Amino acid sequence: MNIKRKIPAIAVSLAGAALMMMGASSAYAQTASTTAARTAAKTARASAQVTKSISRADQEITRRIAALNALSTRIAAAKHVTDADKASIASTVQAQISDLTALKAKIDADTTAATLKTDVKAIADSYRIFMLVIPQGNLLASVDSVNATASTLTTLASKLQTRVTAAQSAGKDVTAMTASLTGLAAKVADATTQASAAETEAAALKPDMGDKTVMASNTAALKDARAKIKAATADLKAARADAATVVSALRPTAGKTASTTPAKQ
Amino acid sequence: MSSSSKKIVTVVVIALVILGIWWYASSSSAPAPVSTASSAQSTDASAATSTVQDSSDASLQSDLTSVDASMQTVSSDSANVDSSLNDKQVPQQ
Repeated sequence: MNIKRKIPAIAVSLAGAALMMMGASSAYAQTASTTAARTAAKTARASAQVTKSISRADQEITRRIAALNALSTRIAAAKHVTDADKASIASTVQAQISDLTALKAKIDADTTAATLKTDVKAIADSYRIFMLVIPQGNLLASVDSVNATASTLTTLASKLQTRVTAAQSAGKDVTAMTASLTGLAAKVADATTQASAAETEAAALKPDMGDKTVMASNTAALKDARAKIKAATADLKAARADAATVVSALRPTAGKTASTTPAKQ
Repeated sequence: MSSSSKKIVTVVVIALVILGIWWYASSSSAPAPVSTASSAQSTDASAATSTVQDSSDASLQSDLTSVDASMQTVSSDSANVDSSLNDKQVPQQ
């Protein structure tokens, strides 16, 4: 009897339990769906981060390779530096290009953040070498162009001396021109001395390999060599001005006895 | 004319023809040494000319122009040194 009376209550309870289970199942499904979505979003973000990091790494490596290639071309064209220094810097530049090209290929193939992080660190590590090689090479190129200019000025000075001697033989007062020629020669000599010192200073530098003391001394040496190139450049400008002064003084309009005919010797 | 005489005449003719060809070839190549000598003289004259320094106004002006062009290269190389000493790497993180 009691059971018959309890049946509706049991039925209601069972129905309630069923409803609760259905609700729980739905909630579980919804939670699982949300978790999966979050995981997918996280994976997408990580993938995007990897792509972004690869892009930045490629940008830096490409920039360095372009600078190294430009330097390599410039060094190959140098004619007024020692063969040993030229060969040394050319070899270092090519080694850097090879290393960076290989590193770029490795980074491009990276798929995980962990591997990429290691490879990106290698870019930063190699930057110390890059920061030595590029100024070193550019200083060598500067030495080359200073010496080339000095050579042209020396040839010009010789021609000017011929003309000044002829003008003197013709009775012209060449005191000022002789002084300018002397100044020209002295400035060209100082320019080549400065350039030679800068070449020696820059060529002797080696990568610091993480040693901060060596890094500081390398930086100081590069700046000092740079100062020497600036001094040499100033010398060349002054020498050029001296040459122009003499050329101007030798023109027919500059004096009655000046001759435009080259002296026969 | 006997057969042996014909042979002798033939041999002599052939020999004459060969001699004629040789003489022609020799006479044709004979001017060559003269030409070589002339060329050598020309080369010597050219070398001598190149060692004579042209100090004309035009040459002086040309040298000044060369110096100016060379100074441009000096400036460009110097700018590259400054640029490389001030280089900053692209941030990676």
